[in-house]
Amino acid sequence: MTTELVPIDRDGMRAATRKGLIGAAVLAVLTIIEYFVAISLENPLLALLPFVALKGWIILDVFMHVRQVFKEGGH
Amino acid sequence: MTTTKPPSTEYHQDMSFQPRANLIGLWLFIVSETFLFGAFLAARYYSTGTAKPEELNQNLALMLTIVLLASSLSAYMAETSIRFNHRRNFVIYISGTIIMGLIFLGGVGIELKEAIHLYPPGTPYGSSYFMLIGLHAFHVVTGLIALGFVLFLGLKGHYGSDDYWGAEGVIKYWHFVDLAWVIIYPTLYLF
Amino acid sequence: MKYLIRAIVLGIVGYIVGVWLTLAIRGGSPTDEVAVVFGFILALIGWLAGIGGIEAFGRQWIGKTPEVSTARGWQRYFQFTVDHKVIGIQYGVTLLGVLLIGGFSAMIMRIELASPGMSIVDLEEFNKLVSMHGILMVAVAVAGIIGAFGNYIIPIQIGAADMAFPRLNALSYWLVPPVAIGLLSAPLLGSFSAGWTAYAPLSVGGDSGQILFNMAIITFGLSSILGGLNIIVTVITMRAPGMTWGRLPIFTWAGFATALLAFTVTQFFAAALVLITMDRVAGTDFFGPDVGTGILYEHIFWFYSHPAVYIMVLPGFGVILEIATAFSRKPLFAYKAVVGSLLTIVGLSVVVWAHHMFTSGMADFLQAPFMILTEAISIPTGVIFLSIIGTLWQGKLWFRTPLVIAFGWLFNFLIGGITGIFLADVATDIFLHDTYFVVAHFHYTIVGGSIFALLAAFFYWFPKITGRMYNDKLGIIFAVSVTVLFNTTFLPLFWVGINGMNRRVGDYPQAYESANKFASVSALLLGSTFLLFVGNIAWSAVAGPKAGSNPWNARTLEWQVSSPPSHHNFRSQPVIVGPPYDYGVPYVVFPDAEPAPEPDESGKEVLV
Ligand code: HEM
Ligand SMILES: [Cu+2]
Repeated sequence: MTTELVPIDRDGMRAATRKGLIGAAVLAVLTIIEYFVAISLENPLLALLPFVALKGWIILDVFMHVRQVFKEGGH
Repeated sequence: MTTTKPPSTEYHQDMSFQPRANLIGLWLFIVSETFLFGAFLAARYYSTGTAKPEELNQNLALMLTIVLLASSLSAYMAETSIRFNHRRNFVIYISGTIIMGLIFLGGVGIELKEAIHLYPPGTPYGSSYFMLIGLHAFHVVTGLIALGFVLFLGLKGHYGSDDYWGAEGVIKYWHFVDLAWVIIYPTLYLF
Repeated sequence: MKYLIRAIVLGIVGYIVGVWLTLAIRGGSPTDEVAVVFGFILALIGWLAGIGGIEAFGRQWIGKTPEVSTARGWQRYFQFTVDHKVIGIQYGVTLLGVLLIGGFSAMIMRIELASPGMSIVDLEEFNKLVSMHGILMVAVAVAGIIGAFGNYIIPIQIGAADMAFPRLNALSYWLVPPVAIGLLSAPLLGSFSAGWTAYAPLSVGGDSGQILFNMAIITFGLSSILGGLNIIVTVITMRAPGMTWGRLPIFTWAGFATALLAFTVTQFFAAALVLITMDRVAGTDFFGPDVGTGILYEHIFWFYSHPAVYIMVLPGFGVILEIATAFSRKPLFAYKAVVGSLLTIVGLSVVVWAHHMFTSGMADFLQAPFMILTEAISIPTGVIFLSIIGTLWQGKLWFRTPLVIAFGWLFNFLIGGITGIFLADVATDIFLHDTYFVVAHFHYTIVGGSIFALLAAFFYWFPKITGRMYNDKLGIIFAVSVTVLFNTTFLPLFWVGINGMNRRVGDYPQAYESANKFASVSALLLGSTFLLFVGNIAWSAVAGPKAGSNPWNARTLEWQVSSPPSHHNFRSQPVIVGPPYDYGVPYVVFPDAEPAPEPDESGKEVLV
């Protein structure tokens, strides 16, 4: 393993980590609720669409940083 | 005698556009992949609507969803680590992602094995099922291969907080694989 | 040559390994479709690795610096060269070859159709011939202008040294030869007879050549998608300082719009063909006659293939607009409206596909909306047409070969567009569908609109690319005779179509004979005029005078650099200070571009 030359910005890293953990936790909860909604309704299509949209958006925004694309000079 | 250097006929364009081009290019690639999945999803809805057989293995599918989500989180952690130059964690998290990806693939294998008897590819649901799962599994496999290269380079200490675009691109691709599953899973199991 | 040989060897090895692995795993014969599929995939990988993929991509995956060929001589055309100008020429030459083969198959068809009854081929062979002709020509029309001239000209027009992803660009090109090889070797497996559209369920049954068609066209789709992506990113991120969106040359705008379309819809053709392939080899049933439905195929297919006709023709608009303004010495008429129309066409063309399906048995309620949307798309198309006319109007026309071809284009595309309206109307389409009227319509739009523009682009940019002039008189003779003979070939087909002659059939009733004879004779003459074209190139190679950097006195950036442009196009970073088409506008200084402007004290090249 290479030694770290640059000191690690612990605070920044902690904040980013927290953001990811919260995102994942929300995703997990949504997935479970989605599942129970699906098995308890006769025709769950409409009820499930918001879950899909929300989960998709969380992945795009939290995990994939989609907003970078729209920032000029980006990254 | 003096020698003069011939005037240069070439210049090298300022390359500062490249990171932005990479980012936009990657996103366009992801958008284009979305259309590919979209075509298959459209085929599923057109030919069978939301109909699905009773025998679906719901528990396994839910587990797989959670595993894939966890692998996505691990990939996110890897990206965060390398962004802050924490190379050791980067390697650990990438390995975690790969392991969970492999577990996911194994689960899909079990699923397909059951499916081939319950709803074989010649039936309306079976056609869509095998196509969508197959397309997704194909992306999982390519994603895993790419992650393998990233792990290899990570072990060699190739990435650092100033230069990790290769890893970042592959990780975004892996999140996309998760994103696709967010739609495919309810399409095949829940709706 | 070394790399080409390596590519061929690895391609063959890949094919053999793929077939062998399949046989080892599941047994069967080497001509089984599964074996062919895996053979094709591994052959493709072997080919790409051999031609330079190992050095250009593989090295990077293991952390080494990628290497690409830096050869300068003729050898670079046979290598994984990343210079966009080389790639443009590679595209151009390859597709010209495909055009000739496709044209040759058309000649055989016209000979067969010269009289009723079957003479030189039988009905089934005729179907295979039509299918081969169709798909080859569609490939040329889809990739011709954008692949050859888009690659060559767009980066220069925006003041860039190359594309945003040069290696990806080379990859897009090197995917094309396997497509041609795949299609042309399909006869070994019995060829394909379901038409260029590969309509299901015909394509789900039938000879195994269909599987090569599928694999080849999926590969071609990949190439178009990557090429489109590259152009989009290039235009977004690599414009020179001062090259605002409002100053973008119109050919670049057209190429950008084309790239947007190619990049969003091509997946659907690929997806449709993947599904057919799965129906054939993996036992799924999407389009088969029992569980599946061919209508689904038509929806997916036309969702690509209607926009594809605009992928063919939008770059053509760009070319003709460039020529109209340069050869009438007038500013481009209604530049903003043209740009708006291009983007409107991109948007509208993905919501009109079902006009190809009025008689297919799709849901009735879809007919009226698709009719109206289709007719709506003729509005932006008309705006572009009017802009060309408005540009030429009262201009000081300079009749050189490009402009003469552009006039032929105007006439043809007018007929093609107007006959499209009849086909878009449900009532008349039910009558005209699947007749030669449709054949005539799409030849007027595709040959008239896309191939004519390809020829115009060729004669417009030839001096830039080769540095030499061609014989302009010979060029004009060629342009006039192609226009006349094209019309005598295809006008009669409208007539036989209205009278009910079916397309895609090798035989027809006696009543249509005279018109068909006329068309056949014209077609053979049309084919032979291409000798003038080849002759002209040869003349230019032997005796062509030096063209200089700006033979047309045009103002877009590519004409301000040497012919052919140097390796990175410019001597220093160009800076753009004005719009591209201010011909004849008072007080605009016209740069004398020979020799190319020297850098000013800030080290930047200033171009107006
Ligand atoms: C003004 C605009 C246009 C309209 C309203 C129009 C309308 C139509 C319609 C309704 C059809 C279906 C005919 C049928 O099969 O019954 C058709 C066929 C076709 N059009 Fe157009 N068209 C237009 C422009 C174009 C352009 C610009 C191109 C190509 C550059 C084109 C290429 C084709 C092709 C290739 C087919 C036949 C496909 C096949 O069945 O094999 N059209 N057109
Ligand atoms: Cu159409």
